Amino acid sequence: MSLPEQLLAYTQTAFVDPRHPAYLLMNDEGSLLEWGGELSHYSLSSLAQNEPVSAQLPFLEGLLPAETIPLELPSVEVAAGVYADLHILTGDRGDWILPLDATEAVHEQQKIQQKLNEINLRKTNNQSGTSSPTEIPWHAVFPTLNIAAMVRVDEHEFNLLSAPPSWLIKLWPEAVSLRERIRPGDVFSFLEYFLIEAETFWESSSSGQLGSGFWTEADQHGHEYQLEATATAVDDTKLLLISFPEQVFHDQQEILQKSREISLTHERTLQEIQKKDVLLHCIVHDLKSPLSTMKGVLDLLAAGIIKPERMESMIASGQQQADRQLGMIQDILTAFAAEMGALDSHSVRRVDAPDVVRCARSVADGLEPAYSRRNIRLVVGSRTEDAADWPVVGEESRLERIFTNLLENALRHTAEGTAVTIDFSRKNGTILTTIEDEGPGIPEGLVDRLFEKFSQGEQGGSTGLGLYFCRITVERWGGAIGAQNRDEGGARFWFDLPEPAN
Amino acid sequence: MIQKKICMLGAFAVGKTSLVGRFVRSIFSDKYQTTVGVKIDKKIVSVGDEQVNMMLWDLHGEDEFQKVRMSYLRGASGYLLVADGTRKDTLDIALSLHETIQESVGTIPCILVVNKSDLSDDWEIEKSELDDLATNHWEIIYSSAKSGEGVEEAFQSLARQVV
Ligand SMILES: Nc1nc2c(ncn2[C@@H]2O[C@H](COP(=O)(O)OP(=O)(O)O)[C@@H](O)[C@H]2O)c(=O)[nH]1
Ligand SMILES: [Mg+2]
Repeated sequence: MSLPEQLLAYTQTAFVDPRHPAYLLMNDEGSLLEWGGELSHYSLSSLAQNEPVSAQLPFLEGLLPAETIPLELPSVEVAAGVYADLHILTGDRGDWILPLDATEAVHEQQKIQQKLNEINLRKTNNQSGTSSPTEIPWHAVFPTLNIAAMVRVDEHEFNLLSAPPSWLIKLWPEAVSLRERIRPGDVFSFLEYFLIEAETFWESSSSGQLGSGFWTEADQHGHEYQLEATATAVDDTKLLLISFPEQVFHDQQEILQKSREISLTHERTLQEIQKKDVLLHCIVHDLKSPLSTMKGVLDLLAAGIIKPERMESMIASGQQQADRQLGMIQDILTAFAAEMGALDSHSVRRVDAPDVVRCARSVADGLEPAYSRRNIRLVVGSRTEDAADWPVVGEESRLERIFTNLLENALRHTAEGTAVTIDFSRKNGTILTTIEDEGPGIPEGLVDRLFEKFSQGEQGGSTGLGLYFCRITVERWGGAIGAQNRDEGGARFWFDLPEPAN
Repeated sequence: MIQKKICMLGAFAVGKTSLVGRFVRSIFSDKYQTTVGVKIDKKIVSVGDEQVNMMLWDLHGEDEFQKVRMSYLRGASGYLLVADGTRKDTLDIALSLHETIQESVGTIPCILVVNKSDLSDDWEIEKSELDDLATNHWEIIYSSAKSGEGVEEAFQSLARQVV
């Protein structure tokens, strides 16, 4: 049947023109021969003659060559958001492709489909009786998150919602076979108390959640698990979730650990500073007293009121105080220098090694006047052969400093008319030096602290740094130092130093 | 057998975990590992001719990063308030924790444990301050988780009070 001319024209304007008709002609090899119509509507503007059609019209990919012609391909997306029904038919010069826009129809179709989906969903939801938006078996999610999920069935009684995670089985082997009416509070004391809180929570509120904070459980091998419980509710279902968030716990612990270690170090530093302040105060105080004497002497000299026969002793006492102060300053300098490692060089070679006996004699000679002024005998190595060598690891001037400190210390603490004795002995490649006095001994409680930096056992005349210097120096040379009270009375100081290798 | 819940409370690093370790397992380590959350240990002690299962709640330390939840004290029969003798401020923290507990939980038996007595050189908490507390009805025990001194005594004494 063929329509009258007028009707054909009507069909064209009413049904074809609104659908943006266009055409493309391709030959049997699939190359583009000719085109026309509203191609720009389909974003087909830069076409090339005699080139393959499939390369130029990507939406045809896989559709050509068409097996049966004529062919209608409905609702093909030819450009982004533009749909067309594609008609392919054969003519005598090749195959025609006729796209007719179908965008609006497709949108209508989509809306209808959406409505249908919604209706279907509502139907299935009503059947299963929950408000879950999808059909994922949500219990199965918990084990994948390492969570033991339970539904409360009675006070302190729960049903496991899914298979118990492995950590739960390690901590509670029976959990494998039990799924219903389990009592986690009986197994985990911590939960026993948390569940009391949770009951109140479930009673009072149906929204939100109550967290327990971390607690630690150990399995039979002592392996620890840090767990966290959460009470929550979905509609009328009361849920208890126990999780093992290993990584979260470790991260949190690491941060706390670091911050606390820093706090502790900070506190300790402040304490050190405080002690240093005290020490500084003591040192200044100690340095002041010889200075007062010296100033007194100078003032008297200036005033010219000293009798000639007293002049000499007056000057001598001024000099003595100056020496004392110099000695103290020397102590401070050496102690701090030694601490900074500035005095680090020392000899371990036998040829350069200082001789401990000779060193002691030389220091003793220097101190002889001070000792005889107080009528104290200084006996050095009465049993020691002078001919023998007594080399030790160390450095001569600092070894002398050690003897000076120890002998001045003995002089300060021993009574007039007694003796201070230095002796040496050799054993297993080390040389032991002892300095014994006949004084009152070291006060109880001070023995352990004598060689510490802030030890202020000495009353005046000393910075408290002398013995500290001795210790760090001897220790740096690989030796040890100590002191104790002698059974027969008085104190014994000792230090040993290694003999240098041959 | 009766069971009693006992809490360990105090500032961080005063030795709460170490005291429990010494009391329950007779071990001590110098290494510091901060406690996060709660760990419960148990030990049975005799009080007279009664056996008591002491459930020891080792809580994390109180500081600006972690506050002790008062809910952890629910059902506790008593607590050890631990201070570190070498850190003066830990006594203040212990005492202020004590106040908070009294307000929210009420008055239950407690003992003030001044720990680290082995570190007498670094001692900072004045004896006079503790003597003042002692005259104010505080039971004070000096302890060292390191040497073991006073540890047994502290837990035993609290056990006697809570039975
Ligand atoms: N010297 C000494 N150190 C202790 C003593 N008790 C605990 N410590 C140390 O102090 C640090 C903190 O101890 P810890 O028990 O973790 O304290 P907590 O934070 O209160 O649990 C650790 O390095 C312990 O080794 C003690 O009695 N003497
Ligand atoms: Mg701890």
